[in-house]
Amino acid sequence: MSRSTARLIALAVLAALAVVGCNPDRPAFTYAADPQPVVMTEDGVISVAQGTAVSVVPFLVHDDVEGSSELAIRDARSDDPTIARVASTTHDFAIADWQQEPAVVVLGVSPGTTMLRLFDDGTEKGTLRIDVVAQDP
Amino acid sequence: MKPFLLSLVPLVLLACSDGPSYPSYGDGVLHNGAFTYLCTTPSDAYCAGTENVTTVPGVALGTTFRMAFMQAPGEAPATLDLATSDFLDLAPDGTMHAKRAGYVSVLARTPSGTVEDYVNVRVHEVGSVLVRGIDAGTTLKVSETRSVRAEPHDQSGAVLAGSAAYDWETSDTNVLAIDVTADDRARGGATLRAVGPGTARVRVVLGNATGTIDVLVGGA
Repeated sequence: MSRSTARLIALAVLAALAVVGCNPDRPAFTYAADPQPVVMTEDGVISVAQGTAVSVVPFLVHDDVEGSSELAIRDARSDDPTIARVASTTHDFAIADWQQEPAVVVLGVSPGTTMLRLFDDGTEKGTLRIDVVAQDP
Repeated sequence: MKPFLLSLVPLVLLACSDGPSYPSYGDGVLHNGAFTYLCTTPSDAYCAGTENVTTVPGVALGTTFRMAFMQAPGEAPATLDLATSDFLDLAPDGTMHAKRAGYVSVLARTPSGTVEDYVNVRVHEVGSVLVRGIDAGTTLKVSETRSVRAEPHDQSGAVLAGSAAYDWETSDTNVLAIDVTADDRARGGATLRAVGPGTARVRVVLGNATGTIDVLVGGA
């Protein structure tokens, strides 16, 4: 390998590390159980009907050079409890055969949009949108 | 080659996983306990007598019922709570009153407020009320009595749960009288009493829903 090729590879690795290092962890979630009624508004948005609860597992996606990993979130709070309230659950969910993560229950209080704010060790790590949808009989 | 194949096993298992799950117990959404539907009076058409049912049924708008939660073995006891009070009222004695049609989540919370489990209850508009205990075209003799009861159904004809105080009316008191005793009221019923020859229409009312049946009264 020539010196210039080695230099190019080193620069590429450094650039990749810099890009990954600058990327903040990405907030994401998975439904722990299907919502009822189903009121999907948009992908990536926690949707819940007024008067009902939906259980979700929020986490942070940490992008790395070799791939991505997930960081569990144990502290999630609603920006506006008049739209959605949040309660923790007594058990962690098995999101994979060897991985347990905490779930929260999001309660749809009144129609509107608010944010689920995610914290890790008291530090805010990101937000997820919550849409509370009115029910038509 | 073999170590390579073995290394794929966890990936295959992960790909075949159905996603998040709790250890399964009971019929709560989180599978962490069992919710039981309890009839408050024999007038609840969903329960035979005062029998309790383990499957939470659809509930009629304007009715009352109760629920119980049995936590999984080893779990903390929990009390029932509602996601919001828009669709149900929850009295201190645990009685729930269905006041608006829609889905509502009933939560089982530990004393610290943590949610152990929850279940979704659907409150239905009542599509029709059937009068049970007498068939259309039945002829009663003067002075004969007949016990009847009301049964609420949704728009698709499914029986709805919930206890209610029904209102009963007769179109002609000279033909048919309707007595509603305390026992009748408790079982969601009434006692029809044939007064004189003719035809009378019996009408039962629950909120905006009604049911009718024509009763013929013959001679003594």
